[in-house]
Amino acid sequence: MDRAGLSEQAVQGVSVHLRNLIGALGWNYSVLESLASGAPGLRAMGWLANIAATLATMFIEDLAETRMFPDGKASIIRLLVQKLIPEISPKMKGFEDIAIARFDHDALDQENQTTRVRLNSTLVGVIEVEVASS
Amino acid sequence: MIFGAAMSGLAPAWYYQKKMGAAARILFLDNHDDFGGHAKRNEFYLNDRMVLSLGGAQNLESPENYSAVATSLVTDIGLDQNAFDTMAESTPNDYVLGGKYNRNVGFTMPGPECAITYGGPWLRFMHGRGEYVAAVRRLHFPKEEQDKLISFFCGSCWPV
Repeated sequence: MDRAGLSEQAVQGVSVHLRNLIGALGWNYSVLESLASGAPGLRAMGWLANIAATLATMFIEDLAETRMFPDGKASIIRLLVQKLIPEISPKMKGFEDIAIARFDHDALDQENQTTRVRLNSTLVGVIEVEVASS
Repeated sequence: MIFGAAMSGLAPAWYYQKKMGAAARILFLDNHDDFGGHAKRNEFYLNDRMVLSLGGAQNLESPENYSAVATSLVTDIGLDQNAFDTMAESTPNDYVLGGKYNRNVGFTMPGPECAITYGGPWLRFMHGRGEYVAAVRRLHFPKEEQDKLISFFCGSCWPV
């Protein structure tokens, strides 16, 4: 707003780029982070930033390395949980059906499992105790 | 015992189990009603049809640049190069969140009565590419502000 003379409304609009990429508005980034993210306005900062802007445009054009599941990173989590507790979705094949595979949450916390996930459990403290061997 | 069943809890559990063997006992405690933390799933049903979207963390960026340790985890859960290639082929060409950043994405600004979202490849426009001048002229914005925005995008407002 100070240097380019943009209004607050306009800055909010152009910040959508950074919000999309990283999740926070432009106020939260250093100049270096903004350069690295290909933020709008790079072209207005001289020859060095112009090069960065050209690279950023290439980045936008050719960004083929991004991969996404239909439910985002939740599929990564579900693949990992199914590896740790296969009983939660025994018929799941892998990445090809992870998005739609049914998960049985009752299988998360069973006594006969070595790995257990206990939900709805707020932790307020931990005390280590001796357990008498039977 | 691991506190929190999201990525930063599940990943060390996986490495621990690999090191200690399948008999290693692991207990997660999580105060939420589902595992995953911010990597949340948005699943609901409409007339028995599953409608699915993300509810938090979204995509994998440049997985080929992961460290060897991180790569071993994604490979262990079945995400090898073949999986990534298959996912790329399955991603619609207009899906911005899937990495097609040069496609249409909304540009939302306050309007006279409510917020207005303008369609178009705005990530390109914001870098002074494509029909960005015409796109800015469509904004419900005073011409003076439009002029500044056009200069900002194309780089003429701030000579160094």
